[in-house]
Amino acid sequence: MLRLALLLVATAASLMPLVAADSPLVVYCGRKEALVGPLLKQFSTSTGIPIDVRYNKTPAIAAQLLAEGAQTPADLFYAQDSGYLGALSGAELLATLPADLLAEVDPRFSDPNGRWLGVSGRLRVLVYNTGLNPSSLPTSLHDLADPKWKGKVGWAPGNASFQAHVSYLRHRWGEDATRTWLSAVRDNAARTYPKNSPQVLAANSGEISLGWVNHYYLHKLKKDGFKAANYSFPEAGRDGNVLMVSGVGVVAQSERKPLALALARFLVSAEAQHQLTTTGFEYPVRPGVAAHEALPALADIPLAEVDQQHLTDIGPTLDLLRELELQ
Amino acid sequence: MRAIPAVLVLSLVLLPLLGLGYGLLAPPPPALFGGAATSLGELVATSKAVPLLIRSLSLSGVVALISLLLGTWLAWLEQRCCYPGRRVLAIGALLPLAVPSYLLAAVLRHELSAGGSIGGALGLPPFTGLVPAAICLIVITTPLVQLVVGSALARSSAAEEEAARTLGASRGTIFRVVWLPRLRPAWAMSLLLVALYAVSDFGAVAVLDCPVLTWRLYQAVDYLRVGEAAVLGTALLAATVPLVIAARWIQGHRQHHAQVANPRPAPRRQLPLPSIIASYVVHLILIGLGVILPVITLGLWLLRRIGVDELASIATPVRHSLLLGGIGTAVVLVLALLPAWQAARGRRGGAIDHSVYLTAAIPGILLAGGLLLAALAWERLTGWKGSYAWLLGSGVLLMLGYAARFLSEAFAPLKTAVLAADQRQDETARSLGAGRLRRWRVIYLPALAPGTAAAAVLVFVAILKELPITLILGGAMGLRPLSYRVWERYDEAFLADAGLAGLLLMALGLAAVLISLRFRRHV
Repeated sequence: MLRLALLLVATAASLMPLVAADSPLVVYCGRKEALVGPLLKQFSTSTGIPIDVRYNKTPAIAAQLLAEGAQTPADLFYAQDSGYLGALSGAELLATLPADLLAEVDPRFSDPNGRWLGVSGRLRVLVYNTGLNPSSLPTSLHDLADPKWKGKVGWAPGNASFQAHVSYLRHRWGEDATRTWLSAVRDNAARTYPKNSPQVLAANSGEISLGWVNHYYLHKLKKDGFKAANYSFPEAGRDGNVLMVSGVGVVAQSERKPLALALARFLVSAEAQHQLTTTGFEYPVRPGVAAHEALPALADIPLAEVDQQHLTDIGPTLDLLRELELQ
Repeated sequence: MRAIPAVLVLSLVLLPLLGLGYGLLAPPPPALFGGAATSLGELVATSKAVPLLIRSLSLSGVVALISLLLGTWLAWLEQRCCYPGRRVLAIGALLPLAVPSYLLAAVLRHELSAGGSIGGALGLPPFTGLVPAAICLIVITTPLVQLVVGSALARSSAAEEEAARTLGASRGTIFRVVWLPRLRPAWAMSLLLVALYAVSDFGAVAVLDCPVLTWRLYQAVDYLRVGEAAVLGTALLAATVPLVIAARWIQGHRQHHAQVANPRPAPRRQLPLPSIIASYVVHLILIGLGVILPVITLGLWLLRRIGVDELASIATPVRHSLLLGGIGTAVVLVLALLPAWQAARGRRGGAIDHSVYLTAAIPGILLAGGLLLAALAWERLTGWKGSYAWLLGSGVLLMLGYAARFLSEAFAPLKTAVLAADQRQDETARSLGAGRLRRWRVIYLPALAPGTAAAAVLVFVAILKELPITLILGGAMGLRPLSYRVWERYDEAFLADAGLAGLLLMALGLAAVLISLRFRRHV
């Protein structure tokens, strides 16, 4: 009985593909394959460098890398949000990048300490039901706590971009003011969603009037007769207009750093940047590459002045969200 | 001595718990994502383990109770009654079993909320919270009860009931003396399967905004709050104790082994009109919510935009789903057979029964995290460089993850099958000089085959729907099955792609459930 069991288990295990003998470049990817898969494949095809991409949610794959530490097989970490790049950088798991690579992107969107590189941007916006008069829309995030919007606002506290935005607000407004504001919006019967896209669909259907989301879901979901649109705050409410950066870092323990750097360089090339905005509606971070024609130009939006390191300060944000029972 | 193989298998399955224990003792850089508690008491308080546990047990209790009642009634209608459309309705009611909870929850929230087609027309309140989560889980788990209780009813012969009636027993006495002993084991097994499913589910509660223990646990693992994950995981382990006790109480002390080789089915009752109408309404609700609505919604997503590229690229996820489902099922069945054999035939059956269900309440993400930590510890302790990458890349960890998660689903039908194999035939054959191999081929294989096939289908469907273990432990092998495809495309709002993958996932699951019907007498 035992022998039969062992034989069958061994046979089954041997059918599984083994680790490739030629040691491909291992990418821990917190971005979705639908978005970056073709780009990574293109890099592999054009350079002949084999790639092993392991996809998961950014927090989960960052946590895996942290647990693995020096034992990690990862060479490059591609995060949806800079917060997790900051956490890994803080744990000394990311190598310092060459200055000429960092110089390829707008310096506002990379690590001031040079441990990670911005690849593309996602703008925090309100998505609203177009049945509303645009002049009645909030002029700042504070308005979301107005009784006028009671039960009509959607948000996703479990979403990484939401958490990064709250991290920014903590640094900008202070802990107490952020706590007060979050409680007020919560008590204004804000509806919790597991992620952003259902909020956009809910704004379209009229289930909610406003959703606090990233800009690009709308463009992917939009079709004829769609009744939702994006909205950025005016100058007075620029704290709502935060540009979140997705980015990459080279793992300090990697034995294939030159290959990992080649991939990082490819991701910020004009060609890749163009593709990211064409297929994913994201904002390019390389100067000179135009954003998708459906997107408003970044120059026309009063962006919040963000120190990217503040977005990486997730720990206290999570504690705050838990204290308020939003997590 | 004879229990050693079974104990070895169970130790392997309990490996994730060791890994979590190790993670707790040798924590990685602390508090990177916050949550640095200073004492166990503080950890228990800040993680809110106790209120969350109560909430989780309440949810699973409600789901188990209603599913048991509904599923038993549906099984009774199917096996003992006669009315128009019975067969089609009975098969239709089993199909929600194949739908992943996160997918069903997303569809229900989409359609039944105020902005959805049904919710909007009926003016329904937001479809979120405890009650919607319970509804979603009831729709998915009722077929499990129908399957298990229906099998118990199908295996029963009419002879005992007729004898009791001839002796003048009342209907109440017949139920108590004849049916209750037959139904109690089926109810006990159903209770465990349903309650453990509900207590460990993450998809439905996350999508429907219903904070329970698994939700908090997922976040703890996501943010590497190892201490908190361990406390919450322990709370979930504790949750299995009252469930197993309740199941043993329902089952009673005496096992009902009276099996008849060729049971004569009891005659069917003609159902009165009010009961027929009630049956149609209940079936319509369950099939409508569990099958028709998801198919229509996913179909509409699919119609949004679909190009040749998407259609061609879907072949790989289908292949990976079949590969993972096939190999995973084989491994889980082989691993489950040893404890099932020992539990049915050995002296330590009770202890093995408990151990098998121990990991069933723990969500996949924690099991996967535990296995990763165990493999990391292995490499650190042995100093064998590269063994962690090999364990991850060879699929060994993935298979252990599936075993820890789904062993209980294979165990129950296999144990029943082993019990059904006639030991006296074995003794007779041995006295006639038949060798071990020959006895296996002639006596045991035919007896075990139907139960094994039924267990295989249950595990296959479960692996097909599984995501976190596959994502964490299968990613190193480049495996991207349909469950992964639905998740990542839905997350990125590529609804057409998500719809196509969701429909195919349901189609594979439905096919497996339909195949299982051929073997259901042996579940």
